[in-house]
Amino acid sequence: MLTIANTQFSSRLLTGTGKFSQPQTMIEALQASGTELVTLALRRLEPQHSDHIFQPLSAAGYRLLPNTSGARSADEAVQAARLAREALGTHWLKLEIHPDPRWLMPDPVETLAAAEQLVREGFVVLPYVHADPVLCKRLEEVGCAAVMPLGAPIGSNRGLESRAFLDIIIEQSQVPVIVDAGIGRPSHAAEAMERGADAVLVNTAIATAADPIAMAAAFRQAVEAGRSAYLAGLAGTAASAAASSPLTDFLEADHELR
Amino acid sequence: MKPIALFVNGEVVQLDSGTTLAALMNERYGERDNMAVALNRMVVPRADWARTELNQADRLDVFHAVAGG
Repeated sequence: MLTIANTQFSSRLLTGTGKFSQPQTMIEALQASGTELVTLALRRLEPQHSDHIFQPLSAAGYRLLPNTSGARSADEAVQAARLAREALGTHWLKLEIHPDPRWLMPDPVETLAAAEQLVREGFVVLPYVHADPVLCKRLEEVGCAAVMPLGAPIGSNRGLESRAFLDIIIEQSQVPVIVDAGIGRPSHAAEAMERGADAVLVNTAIATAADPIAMAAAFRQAVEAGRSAYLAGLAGTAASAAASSPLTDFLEADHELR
Repeated sequence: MKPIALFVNGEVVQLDSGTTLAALMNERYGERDNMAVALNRMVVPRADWARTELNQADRLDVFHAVAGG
């Protein structure tokens, strides 16, 4: 079981709710993914707005993880967190601060400052960060409930480009490590789990697949397979060949029989 | 009733003085849950909307949940 802030989850696949073409597709994809924890964003409300995303998610029993996307500083993120807690009635938070709209790289200085403040205010803080082992340790020390290092830039679907640093983070961390961003294929998710990540967060790769519902199911299987492989203990790698079958003089022996 | 002007998500809105936050929210957004309001950057819990009177030049920011990753 995955345990975050004393809450247990049987699914190790967290999913985002963005970029789906239809709300109904999103609901069915979330169901197929087996996820129990889903992310949401917060935006200004226009009077005519009629898209109610909260009700169907809440009715389906998902634990909600609002994010602070759009915040460019610690102050803005803290304000977004307080608004999210009021709007959604949860003190769980995916803390993300990315001032640069091109690469959406998380700002480590602002993120650490905001995390410290939000932990003091009683939030369960899951910060989205670069795959920086030192920063992840610092975030753990100020009381974050998990860390969410990136595999590759958000929405890029490029996989675990940060794998060498993810390995260090996974080895050092005393809180769950959730690989977020960049996971574009089920095989990427499986790899993260094989390497010992506690969970992965996937959004774009499911939402923008040709068949999001089938892709959600594929990610579910990949995460389960990767986790099982990690627990089973991966076999080592070698530079040269090592035969899988016994090396006996089979042909020679056969010859002697004649 | 003297009218007052304030900002709601950046838009200028005219109201009678003495209007409460609860009245404004109901008129503007109807019966709707899962909204959050900051009045001059301080979040006002929903339980306090009915006793929060709005003033000239107040700044209100109204948010709700949308799809996101």
